[in-house]
Amino acid sequence: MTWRTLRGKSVLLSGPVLILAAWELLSRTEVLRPTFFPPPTTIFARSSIIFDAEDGLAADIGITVLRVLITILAAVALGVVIGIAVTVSRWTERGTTTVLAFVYPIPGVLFLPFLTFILGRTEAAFLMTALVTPLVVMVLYTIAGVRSIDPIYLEVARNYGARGTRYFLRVILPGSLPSIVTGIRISLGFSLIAVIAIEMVGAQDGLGRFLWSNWQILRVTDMYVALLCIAVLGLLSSVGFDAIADRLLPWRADTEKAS
Amino acid sequence: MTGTLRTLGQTWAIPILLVVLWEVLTRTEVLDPRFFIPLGDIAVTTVEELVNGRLGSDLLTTLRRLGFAFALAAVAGVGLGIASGHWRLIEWLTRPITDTLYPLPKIAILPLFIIIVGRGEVAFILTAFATGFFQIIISTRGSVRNVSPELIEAGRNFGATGHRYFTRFLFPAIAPQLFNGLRLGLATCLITLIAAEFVGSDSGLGSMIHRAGQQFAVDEMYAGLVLVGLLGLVVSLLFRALEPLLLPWQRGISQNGTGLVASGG
Amino acid sequence: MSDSVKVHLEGVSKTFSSGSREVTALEDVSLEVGEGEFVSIVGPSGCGKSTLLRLVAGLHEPSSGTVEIRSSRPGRPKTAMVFQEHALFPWLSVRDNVMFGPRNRKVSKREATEIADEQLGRLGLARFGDFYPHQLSGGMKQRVGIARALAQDSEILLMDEPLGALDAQTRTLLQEQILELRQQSQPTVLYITHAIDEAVFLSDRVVLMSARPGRIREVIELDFPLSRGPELRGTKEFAALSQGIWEHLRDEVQAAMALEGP
Repeated sequence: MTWRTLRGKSVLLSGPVLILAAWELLSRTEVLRPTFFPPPTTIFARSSIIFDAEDGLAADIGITVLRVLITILAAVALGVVIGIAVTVSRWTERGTTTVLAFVYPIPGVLFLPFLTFILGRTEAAFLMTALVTPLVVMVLYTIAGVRSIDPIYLEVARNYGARGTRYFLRVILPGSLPSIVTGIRISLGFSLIAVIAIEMVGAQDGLGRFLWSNWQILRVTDMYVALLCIAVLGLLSSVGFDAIADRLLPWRADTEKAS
Repeated sequence: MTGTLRTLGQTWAIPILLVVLWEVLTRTEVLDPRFFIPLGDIAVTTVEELVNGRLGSDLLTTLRRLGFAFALAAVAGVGLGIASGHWRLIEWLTRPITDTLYPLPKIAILPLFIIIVGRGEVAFILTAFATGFFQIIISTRGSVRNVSPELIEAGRNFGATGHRYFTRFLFPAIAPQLFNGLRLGLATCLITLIAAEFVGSDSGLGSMIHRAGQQFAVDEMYAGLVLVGLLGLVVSLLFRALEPLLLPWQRGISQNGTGLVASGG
Repeated sequence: MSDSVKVHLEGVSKTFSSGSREVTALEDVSLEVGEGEFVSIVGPSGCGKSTLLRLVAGLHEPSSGTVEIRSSRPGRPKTAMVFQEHALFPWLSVRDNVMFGPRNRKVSKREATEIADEQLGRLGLARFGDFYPHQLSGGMKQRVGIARALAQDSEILLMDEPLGALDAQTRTLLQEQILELRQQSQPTVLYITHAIDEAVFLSDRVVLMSARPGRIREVIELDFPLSRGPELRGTKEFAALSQGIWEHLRDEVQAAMALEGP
C-alpha cells in the first residue's frame, strides 16, 4: 500500500473522526444533553455487554443474524425459481410484475398482524413476514435479469439444442446472474430492515427487541449500543456483500453498485 | 390481437384472475372467513371508515408527514448531492458518513428520535426524512460524477462557467437521473414512514393498521393494506405523468425498464 | 507575436500524475498558427494531440511553457471546440445547442437565434432546428457540433477528430463541407485527425507528432491552394504526399503500439 493510498484512506476517515470528536466534546461539556447524546467513549465502553455471558447482547445479535440469513436464503431460493419460471410467457411475466409492483411499496412489517392471526406469534409468522419484500425484490430482479439477456444468445443456445432444464440452468441462470446478484444485495438490506422492525414490534428476542426494551426504560446508552450493532450488520450486508461478490464475480467491479 | 391490446392483456390478465379467484375463495368460505375477507367487503369498510371513521384523518396525517419529509429530503439531498459530486473536499467529508449510515435501517433510529423530540410529528418526519435523504444524496452524487467528461468540456468551452455551470449545464445534464432518484427517494420515504407509524405512532395509516391488528378488526386491516398499496401506485403514476412535462427531451428515448428498487433503511 | 500569428505555443510540456505514476503527454512543443491557417495534427494514438488541443482551449494548464492566443477584438471568445463524439447537450434542441455559446455571453435571444439559424443553414440543417439530438443521425449530430462551434465566431476553431466516429461515406461528404466552410470564411483552425488523406485534403500545414511523450517530429507545408475541390483527391501530388506522410509516421505508430503492450 503506497503512501498515497494510505493518505487517501486517512483523509476518508477524517470526516467521521472529526464528527465523533466533536460529539465527544459537546456531550462532555453538556452542550448536547448527555442523556440524549452520551459521549461516544461511553457508548464504546458499554458495548462490552455484547460479551456479557449472562444477559449478553451476543445472543440477540445471533438471533437477528440467523433470522436475516434464513429470510434471505428463502427469498433467493424461491425468488429466483419463481422469477425464472414466470418468464416462460409474457402473460405470466407481465401479470406477475404488475401484482408485485402493487405489493412492493407496502412495508413488509405491515403483514405481521395478518400472519400472526393465522400462525400465532410464532417464529414462522415472523420469518414469513420478513420474507415478503425480499421475495418481491428477488422475483423482480430475476425477471429483469432474464429480460436483459441478449436475445442473440438465446437463439444460439436453442439452435444448439438447449432445451428444458438444461436451457434454464446453462443459459438463463448464468445470463441473469448479474441482475440476480444485485437483487440479493438489495434484498439483504430489506431483510435486515424487516427483521429489525418485526423484532421491535413482535418478537421476544433479537436486536430489535433489545432496542425496544431499552427504549421503554429509557436506557439510552444501551440503545446506542444496539444501534451500533445494527449499523455494523447493515454495513456488513452491503459493503461486506460487495467485497465478497466482487471476489467471486469479478465483472461486478465495473458496474454501478450504489443503491 | 393488436400490439397494445396484447400488452394490456398480458399486464392485467393475472391480476384480474387473482382478484376473481380471491372473491370466489373468500365468498365460498374455502378460505377461513375469519382471516380472508372478500374485496367487496374490504371496499365497503374502506368507504365507511373514510366517511365515518378515522381513516380520512389518518390518511391526511400520513400524507402531511410524507410531504414534509420528502420536501426536506429532496432539497437537502439534491443540494448536498450536487455539492459532494462537484467538490472533492465535500465528498471526502460527507461520503464516509453517508455511506456508513445508508445501510442502517432508519426505523431503528425512531425510538431515539422519539426520546429526543417527543412522540409528535417531528420524530416520524425525521425518520422518513433520514431514509429519503440518504437515498437521494447518494444517487444525486453518483449522477453528478457520471456526467460524461466530454460533455463537461463542451459545457466549459462554450461558456457555462461560474453559476451558469450549475444552472445551465449541470442541473439539466443530471435531470433524468435526478428525477429517478427523487422517485426512489419518495418511495423509500413512504415505506419507512408507514413502517414507523406502524411501530410507534397512534395516528397515520401505519398506526391504523397496527390498531386494527390489535383489535382483530381484519376488514380494517385489509382496508389499510390496500390503501397503502394504492398510495404507492398513485405516487409512481404521478412520477410517470410528470416525466414528459419535466423532461421533454426524453420523449422517444426508452428508459431503462423497471427503474426498480433500492434499499437502505 | 507578430500580427499575423494567431496562436503561439512555446516549449509546452504537459505531465499528468495519476496515483503514483506520472505520464508525460507532451514534451517541448512549439508551434505557431497564423491567421486563417488550417493546421492539421497527425500522430499515433496516445501522442498527446488531444491534450495539445485542450491546452489551447484552456481546459488544461501546461506544466511548462506558454500558450498564447491573440485577441482580435475584446469579447470575442478565444476558442470553440468540435468533439469526436459530438458532445451535444441532450436536453436542448438543435437550435438551442447552437445558441448555447452566444447566450452564455449575454447575446440577446433574438440575435442568438439569428446566428444559430444562419450557421445551421450553412450546414444544411435549417429544417432541423427544433429537433432533439437523439433524433438525428451521427453525421447530422456532428454537423450540429460544427455549427455550434461556428456560432461562436471564435479566434480559433479547435476540432478533435470530428469525423472519427462516422462511416466512410459520411466522412468524405463532411470533409467536402468543411472545405467549403473554410473557403467561405477562412477561420483559423487546429484540426486533429488520424486520417492522413483528410489532413492533406483540408490543410495548409500538417504537423506530425511522435509517439508518447509527444513531440513535433515534422511540419509539412502543403502547396495546395485554398480554392481546391474534391477532385484534388485523384491527383498524383495528393497520393504522393499522403504516402510520404505515412512513411514518416509509420515507425511512430509502431512505436505507439509497442508502448501499449500486452
